[in-house]
Amino acid sequence: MEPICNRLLTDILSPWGITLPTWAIVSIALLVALIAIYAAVSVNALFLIWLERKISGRIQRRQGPMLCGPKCMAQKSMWLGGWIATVCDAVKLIFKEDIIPSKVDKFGFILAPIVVMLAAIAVYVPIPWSATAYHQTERVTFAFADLNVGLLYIVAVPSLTVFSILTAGWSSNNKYSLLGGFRSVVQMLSYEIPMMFALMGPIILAGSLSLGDIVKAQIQGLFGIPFLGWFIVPSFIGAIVYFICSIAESNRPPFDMPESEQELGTGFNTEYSGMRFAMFYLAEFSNAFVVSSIFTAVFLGGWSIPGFIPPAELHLGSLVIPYFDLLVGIVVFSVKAYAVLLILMWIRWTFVRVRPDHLMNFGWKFLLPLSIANVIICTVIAAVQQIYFGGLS
Amino acid sequence: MSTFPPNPDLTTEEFELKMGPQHPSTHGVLQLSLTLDGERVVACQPNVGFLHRSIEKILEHRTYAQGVPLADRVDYCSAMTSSLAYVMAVEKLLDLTLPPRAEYLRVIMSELNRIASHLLAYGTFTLDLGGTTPFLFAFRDREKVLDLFEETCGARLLYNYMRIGGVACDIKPGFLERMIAFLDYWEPLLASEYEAIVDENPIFYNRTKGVGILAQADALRYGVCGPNLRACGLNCDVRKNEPYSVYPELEFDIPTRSEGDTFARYRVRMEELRQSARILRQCAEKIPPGEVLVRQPQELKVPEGETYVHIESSRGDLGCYLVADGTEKPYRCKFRTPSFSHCSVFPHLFKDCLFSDIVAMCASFDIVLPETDR
Amino acid sequence: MNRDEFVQAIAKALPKAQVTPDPHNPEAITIEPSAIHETAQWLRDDPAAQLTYFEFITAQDYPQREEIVLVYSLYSYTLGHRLIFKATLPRQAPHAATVSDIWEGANWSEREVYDLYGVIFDHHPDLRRIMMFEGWEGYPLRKDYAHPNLLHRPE
Repeated sequence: MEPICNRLLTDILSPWGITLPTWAIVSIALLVALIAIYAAVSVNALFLIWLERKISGRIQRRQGPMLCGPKCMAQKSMWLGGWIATVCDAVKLIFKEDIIPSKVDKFGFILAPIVVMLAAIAVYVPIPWSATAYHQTERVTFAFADLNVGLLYIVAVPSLTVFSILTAGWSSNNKYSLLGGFRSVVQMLSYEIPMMFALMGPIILAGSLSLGDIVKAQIQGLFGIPFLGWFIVPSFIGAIVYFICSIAESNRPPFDMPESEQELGTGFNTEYSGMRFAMFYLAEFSNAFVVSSIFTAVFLGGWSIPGFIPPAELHLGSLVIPYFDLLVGIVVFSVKAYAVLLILMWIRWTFVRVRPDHLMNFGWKFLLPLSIANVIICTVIAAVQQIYFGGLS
Repeated sequence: MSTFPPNPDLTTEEFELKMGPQHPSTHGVLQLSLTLDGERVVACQPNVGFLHRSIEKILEHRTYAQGVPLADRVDYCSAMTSSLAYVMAVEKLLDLTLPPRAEYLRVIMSELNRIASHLLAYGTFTLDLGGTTPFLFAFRDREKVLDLFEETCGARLLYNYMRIGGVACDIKPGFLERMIAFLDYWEPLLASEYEAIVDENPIFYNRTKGVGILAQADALRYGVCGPNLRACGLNCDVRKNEPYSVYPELEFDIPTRSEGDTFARYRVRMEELRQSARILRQCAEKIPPGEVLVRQPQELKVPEGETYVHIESSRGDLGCYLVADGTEKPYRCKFRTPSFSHCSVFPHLFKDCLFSDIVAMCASFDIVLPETDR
Repeated sequence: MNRDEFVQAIAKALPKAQVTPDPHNPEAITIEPSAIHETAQWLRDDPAAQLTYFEFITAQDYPQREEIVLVYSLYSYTLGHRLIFKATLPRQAPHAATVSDIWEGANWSEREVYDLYGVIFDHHPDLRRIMMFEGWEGYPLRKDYAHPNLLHRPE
């Protein structure tokens, strides 16, 4: 991010002859990133809620929300109707009375939604949206911060959600919430292990924990064939295991044990209302997008299109579009991430909820051995690649 | 069986959880006092009576004709059958013979109501297991049945259609064609949508198969009836055992399952939906023209006597025990309701299972709380 | 078995029950209240009766005769017959033996009769009110029950 930002600021400011010191550039970059991340998370989550309702409507042979928004658009197609519904919902939730029940533990009760929102936003930091070679010495990953421990970070930070859900459940002073909190801890603990093992395969194949490097390793291809490069090919089992675990991690049905509306009455957030509830809700959808982004970055080649590297500048006659590869990368990444998300939604509206003990059995007795097997397979593939094709990275 | 074997080395503290009366999956206002050991249910004590409207007491203060809308409210999900039990009891004391068209209309309405009620049961059952889509499938089609009721008697839930001596009004022209059109549209959906989305689903299968097994001998002693008893392997149906109305003239099967578990109860209901459709098609062919009501005097005095009439309602063996003392009001009217018996099985069944199983089992019994409490 | 056969069989097996055909209901028989438990046991276990299926228990209140009549309805799916038997209790302090150890389903039915008629079932495992809440005064289905909220229609 920093080299891109540096370049961008220099490009913009140099016609006026302004040069900025490094600390100013870093500060501006951070500020821009912060605003962008907040805006992206909120708007994206709002859009996702609308999309989820529309998709569920389509699956259930109905139209979903149709009344909020311009009628003339709704008359044309069901996909144009009700697009303002979630905005209305958000406004309603903001203006609702902020209720803190009298017997709750106030500190935990207030803290939990903040932490869950923080975790949901913080996890966006290392996601590699795209990369650009525009006026750079090498292809630079466009992420808010391409951490060298990105993958570890991205698995660790969502674990904060567990704390906040348990805090929410415990402090709510409600037995349903408490059960929801317990379930959440049990579920996340047991699904993080196969999840980490499933991600181990790509780490071995790429030889790096940085998400940018993992994507770049996928662009190089496997055994000299660029189309085999996506890690979903060598680490297919890992991709499946990660996909299942990610549903459990983001608390989505059929693995929505902590909430389980019909059993626990929405579990840990039973006592929450108004904006505090909205924070949980937004965080849930934001997490769903995060897990599909990680899936895209780690298994589906991130921003890359196999066999095609977009030019840094596009010349359309006299028109020059700078950062063309960056823009193409973001579009490609988003398309992939949303495709994964649609599968998540499809699963959500098709299956019934899993029972907690089946969930545990499935995680420990089925997914964990599979993910370990995946590590071995990936090691062998990485060794073959290393010896016969001269390394991946 | 779906037990979570407790580890004797780990001591945990049991705690009480009052599930309900306001809870999404207790189907109204049932309260289950659960003793939980973590996720495991140690004991369960259902508390009913939150919806007690003392219908039996009010009936003693109303004339016989005024009792029909009250009888509707005994089981609002299947109002046609619950008022049918009442009017049949009065008719038995009066020794009335009904015009054949009235009998056919009663059977048509009962079976349509059975379809509506079983669709509700299917929908809420799958909803309680966490599937929203099957629920909406079921409700989409239930609306179509309710449309048929609406055009006949103007109401969608509490019909007040049965009358002492027949039914309130004849069906509208074209009703039978619309009914057959609905059946033609809906019957294929049973396999292609309703069963396709849950039956082969391993999650659904694992959550229902072998969960909540009710032995036949227990079921009999608890007075379990209807589809839930048929799921225990007993071929029982009031329509066959003690036929009433025009059921002897109609051909249909009694679906049974031998397992007695949650899955069996669900399957029996799905098969019953097909049988109801079969009955309706036969009725549409056989229904004769003619009168639909033997008019009764306003101040109908029923001769002294006692009778017990029972019919196969959507939930099972619904009985009406009527005592008349020769005046225009019933002396005593007792409804023997299936949901009451089904609720009383819960302490026996909801032991050593998981909290999630409670929800599945409770929904599979298809209890309706106003019927339990009356 | 029809009613008359039941009367004969019970009279033979349990003379203490003093069984008679009920005058009001052509399907019912009447027995002595003290013999409820033995009769119930016999009706369930006797191979000729096999009334394993429990339907309901209810009561009728007759203030003029100072009587409460208990009504038990049973059915046999194996033999396909029904029996309704009645027992007349005094209206003041009515007591009857529980049959909830014979048919578990009677547990709740007896609670209901206790709740609404005030009949005490001896040895019942859990005799509490079921429809009304604990602490309700009076027995609502009795004919002379009066409550400020209960308005009688003008005659």
